[in-house]
Amino acid sequence: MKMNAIRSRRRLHPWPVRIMHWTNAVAMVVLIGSGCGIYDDSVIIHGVYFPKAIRLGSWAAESLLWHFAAMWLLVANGGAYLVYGVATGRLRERLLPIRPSDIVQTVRDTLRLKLAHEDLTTYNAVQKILYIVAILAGISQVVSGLAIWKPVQFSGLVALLGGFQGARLVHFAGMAVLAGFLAIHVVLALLVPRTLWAMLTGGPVRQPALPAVAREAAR
Amino acid sequence: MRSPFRPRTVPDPGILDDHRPLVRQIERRGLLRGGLTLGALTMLTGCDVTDTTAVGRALRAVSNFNDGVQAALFDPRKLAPEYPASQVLKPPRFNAYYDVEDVKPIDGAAWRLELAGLISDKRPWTRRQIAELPEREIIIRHVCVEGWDYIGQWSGVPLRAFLECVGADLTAKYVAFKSADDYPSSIDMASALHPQTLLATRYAGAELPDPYGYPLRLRTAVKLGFKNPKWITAIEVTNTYPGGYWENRGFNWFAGL
Amino acid sequence: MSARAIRCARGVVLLTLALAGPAQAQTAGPSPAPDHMPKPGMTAPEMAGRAAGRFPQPVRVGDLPGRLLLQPEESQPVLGRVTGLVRRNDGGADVIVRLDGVLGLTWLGLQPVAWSGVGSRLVAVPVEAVALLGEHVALMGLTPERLRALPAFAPGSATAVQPDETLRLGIVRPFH
Repeated sequence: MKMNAIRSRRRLHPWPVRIMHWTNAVAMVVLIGSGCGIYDDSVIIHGVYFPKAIRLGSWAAESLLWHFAAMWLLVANGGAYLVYGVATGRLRERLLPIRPSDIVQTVRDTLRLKLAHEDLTTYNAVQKILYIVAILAGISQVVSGLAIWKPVQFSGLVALLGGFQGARLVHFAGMAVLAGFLAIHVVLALLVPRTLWAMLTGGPVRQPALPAVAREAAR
Repeated sequence: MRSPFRPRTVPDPGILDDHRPLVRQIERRGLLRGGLTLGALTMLTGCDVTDTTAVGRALRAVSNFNDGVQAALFDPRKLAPEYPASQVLKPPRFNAYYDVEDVKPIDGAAWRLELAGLISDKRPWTRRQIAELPEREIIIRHVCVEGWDYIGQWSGVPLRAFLECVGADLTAKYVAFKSADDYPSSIDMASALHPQTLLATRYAGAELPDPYGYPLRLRTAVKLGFKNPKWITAIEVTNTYPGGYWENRGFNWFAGL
Repeated sequence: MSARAIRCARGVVLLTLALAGPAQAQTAGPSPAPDHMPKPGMTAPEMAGRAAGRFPQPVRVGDLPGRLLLQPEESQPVLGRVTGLVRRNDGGADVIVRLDGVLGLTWLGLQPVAWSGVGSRLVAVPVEAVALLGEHVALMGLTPERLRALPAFAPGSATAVQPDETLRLGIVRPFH
């Protein structure tokens, strides 16, 4: 009970979350931009090629230097986030549970352009799924990235991913998923600017979490 | 015999006097770092590194750090997967820093492999002498830093056997290569001693064709493709960081798989 | 809504550009652009001369069908797929290539099904006009336009080269 009371006084986005969020944003943009440069050095899908304007690094070696620098940033930050999220219960509290009926309701609302963001402290079902997909894609990027970087030391991973080109394809697909997430995430944040402000300043002080039944009744 | 790794004309020693303050500064920096780390070596030797911006230096520093991480990850007993002969690509993929039209074939009869550095018997080797050494065949994946790969079938003398045979100092840090196409390269000693690191003389059972490095090239299963110099003319065992063609232009030095 | 979305997309691009900016200022640079682009209007002897300079390597004819024919540029677009080889009257050989059909599936990245599509057709390309790029084949002696302008090849109109025969084909390094 005492624990709950402390938690209830927390801001929506405590400072560690904000630092990790923006660190992650920088790491992801650098990884995607430099990844495009690395991809272009030998395309995976013939005919699919990134213009120079979105590549980070003037040629492959520079893109690789950026990629392997941002890699450490992402791994350290992502690891810290997972540890923090699990330790404080934030991940479970904010991302679970996901009920099928909620998903249907949220998709219906979204299609009618009813973007309910009155209450920033709870995520709707689609948001929850998006965040979980992004976290899983991030983990998949680390695993496939490790297979591409060290295909001999981790030859088991390469076999699991269907060979070296298979690992590259998985890494590329994971990037596409994350880039898609990033696009939706940024568009939605700009549509509801309060969310952006909250991620910069910490947002409102959170009310004590209502039990699920009470929330249901409040609808 | 003059080492093939040293310049033919020695610079005027007066240069040292002209730049004495700079030299002293470098020495001091070296002492401050408490010895020569790989990173410090890269910074000091510099080579063709044209990127001197702060961002560039920071990225280089991370790359040097990654050399250390990779050396720690490297398991000298871990063998790369080998594949059935039916998967071998014949002919293999060609790559160089120039077009295939510019390949300059080597006269095998006149060719010699020269040795330098921490090696007790530095007598040069002929093709026939190398052919008498024990041979090994490996069918391994070639992974290029660009992203493509293929399965290749290589045979030749394990580099470890060769280094032992010529009395090389196996505790030295680096094995460096010179090639006929001006493509210097170098690898760490642990990778050089790996059982799947060969001085290759044949591909798919036939003599190495000209564009793939006849008469002698490096083929190691534990490094990216660009760490496998072709048309090798000299080998040096050294403790001084030797760099390499692409490494000096920004690619990661260790480049281990 | 759309104006906002555009503004946000532009923001992402600008952020990427801002990060890419300093990197582009540092130049070490790759090796100079290779001189392997096919010259329009190359004569047969010129084509053969250039092919001879590409260090022709022995390749088993049976290993060629199924390989992609690529355009020699960085994005490596697929022009067609090799189906086999036939003897020419002058003793040389032609590579039979199936070009993409009207559905344009190649362009959509659907190589595995593109050549069964409606309107695909076969053309005969002199072996001197192609080179081996690893597990692929690259079009070196013809422009893509001239490839597509080639007359349709009728299956059975020339003697097929047997799979166990060995032919020599030039090689080429990756395009970038």
